[in-house]
Amino acid sequence: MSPWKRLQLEPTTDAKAIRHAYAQQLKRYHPEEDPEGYQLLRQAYEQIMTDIKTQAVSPPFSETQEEEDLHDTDILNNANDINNQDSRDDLDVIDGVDDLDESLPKLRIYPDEPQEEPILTPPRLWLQGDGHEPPQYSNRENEDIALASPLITASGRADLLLSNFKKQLVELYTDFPSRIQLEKWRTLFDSDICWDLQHRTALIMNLIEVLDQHRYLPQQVWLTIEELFEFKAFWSEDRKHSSYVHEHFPDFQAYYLSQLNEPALSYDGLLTLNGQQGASFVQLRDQGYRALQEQSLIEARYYLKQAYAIYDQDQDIIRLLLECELQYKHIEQALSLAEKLIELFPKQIDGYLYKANLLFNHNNYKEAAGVYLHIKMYWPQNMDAKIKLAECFIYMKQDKLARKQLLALQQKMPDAPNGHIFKINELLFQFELIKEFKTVQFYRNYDRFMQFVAIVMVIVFLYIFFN
Amino acid sequence: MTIEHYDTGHFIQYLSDIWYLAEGIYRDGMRRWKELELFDKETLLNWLYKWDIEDFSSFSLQASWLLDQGYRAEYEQYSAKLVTFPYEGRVSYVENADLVEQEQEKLRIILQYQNILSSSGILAYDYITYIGLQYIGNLLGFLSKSECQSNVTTAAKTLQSKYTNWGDCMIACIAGALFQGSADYYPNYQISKKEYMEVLHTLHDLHG
Repeated sequence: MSPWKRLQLEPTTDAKAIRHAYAQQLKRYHPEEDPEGYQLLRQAYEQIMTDIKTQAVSPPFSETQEEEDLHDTDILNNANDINNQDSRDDLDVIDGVDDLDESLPKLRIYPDEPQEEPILTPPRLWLQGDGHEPPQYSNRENEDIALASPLITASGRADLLLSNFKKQLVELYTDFPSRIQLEKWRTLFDSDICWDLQHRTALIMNLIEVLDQHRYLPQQVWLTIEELFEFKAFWSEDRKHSSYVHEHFPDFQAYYLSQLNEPALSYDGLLTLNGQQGASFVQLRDQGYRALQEQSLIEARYYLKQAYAIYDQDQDIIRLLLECELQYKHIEQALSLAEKLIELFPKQIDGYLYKANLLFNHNNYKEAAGVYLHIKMYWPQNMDAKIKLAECFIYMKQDKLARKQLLALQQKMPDAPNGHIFKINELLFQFELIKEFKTVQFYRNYDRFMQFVAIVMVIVFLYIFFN
Repeated sequence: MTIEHYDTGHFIQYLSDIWYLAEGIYRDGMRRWKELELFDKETLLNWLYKWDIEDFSSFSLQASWLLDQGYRAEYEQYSAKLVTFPYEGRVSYVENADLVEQEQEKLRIILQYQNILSSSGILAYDYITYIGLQYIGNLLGFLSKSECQSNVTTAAKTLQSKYTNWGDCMIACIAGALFQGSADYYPNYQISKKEYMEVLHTLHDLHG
């Protein structure tokens, strides 16, 4: 079977398309479930990649492809200077490309590149030579494996590629405008090392190590990471992985899952900030958000106020600070933030709900009713606002409106959740009570009036009688 | 008239209706605290297992926990997380996020009651449960009648100051019972509208 057939792909020079086809086929030939199939697939992929890279007379690549190849070549050129011994301890000098693993795609040499100049190996994030060894698995069942840190591989070349990959990750993260662009991450994740299943454990561990320290990213980036690297499956498949991550990056798993599950914090409009401001803003906002979730109000307010001082046009920072002020019972500040939220984001329900509830809780039923009416009009499914509106009418003594609203709610009750049904019944009951109370008052007043009339009549009668 | 103005003695009696309703005993015809005497000691002890009470020490521990923290602490913890999400993101989080079933159930209840409950949250459930446990504790000999009476009165007075009307107090107790028990003890436990209205009418009698 030809390599192209194995990848189920028409011959092409588009490296991206080849990688995607390879990724598709990987789902069929999992290395653990079908090692033979995987081996053949890998060979086909590597052969194709080698062929397209060595086609000296091939049609010119597109600009993007060329950039990608330059980028791959940069990494591999670094490998030129490394002695490809499998021992991790002797990763210092490499004589030439010939020593590299046979499976390596052949290099496309750019004549202008200064080949003579030695390229220094980028330092690993665990910083060799600073007296710290890379962290290792704590479970030493198998001595050969146990001695190795999952951050490094048995191949010097792969280690170098990983090290470069990490460097690029950090560089991308450090440049704030690039950090918040999903495409940039996707391009980086297209690197060869990300498709090298042989060193997948080391790749993921290194990626986790970097992300643990560089975590203020848009949710789309986290979702892409999960889509491509499947962290969740990675640490649930092997307890050793999970315990390693838990031990060395204690809160990473929880943070990662929260990024996947929780509604995303918005990154819209942040490109208007300069890099330093943007980076500080997202960090402070995230810290405030987490502190608020943990009910650490002082901490939350501290971070959120700082973030708000940097950028006050972000819907999440306004909303979070509003919630924080509300919990502090700083009503005026909360109200002004709610108004700002409405002004900036009139199509979001949050500002209106906050404002209406604030007014309601401070007995300003008339204004609250106005806002609830607005919510009822634009978000007709919102039951909470309708119930509150009925309450407003009751407190405003607008009997007709209250009755109308309650009857409308009563009709919708079968579809309402239990809590709402109870509340509607309670309001109906309360309304009847008020009505009953009014009736009693009326009759009491009527009685008194009749007594008064009787007394007057008696007096008149007596007056007439005696005259 | 707010519940703060009711006579505390009467108020305590009527709390039994709410507690029995929330705990699902109301449908067995139980209405008043005094009717707890109808249960034998073994049944009462079995019942207390629900709150992890086996003896005097666990009874004391649980009673003071209900006053100091109670189920409301956990409720507030979940609720604090939910309020950091945009309003429309809350439902999708509860329904679609990769959550443990029990956690999801609790969040559902919070979502349902969040905008209905007054600012005191589910405190009513903790305090009414505390009052119920005091009566049971008295029957089981964990505390004397005078101790029980004094504890119950103090808790009831606090409760009276926290809610403005019966409806709020009742919904808070139901929400608390569902939050605490729905996942553990009463899966799919529902309180019918009929029972609810019965209690509401009973409480209305207090006006007279």
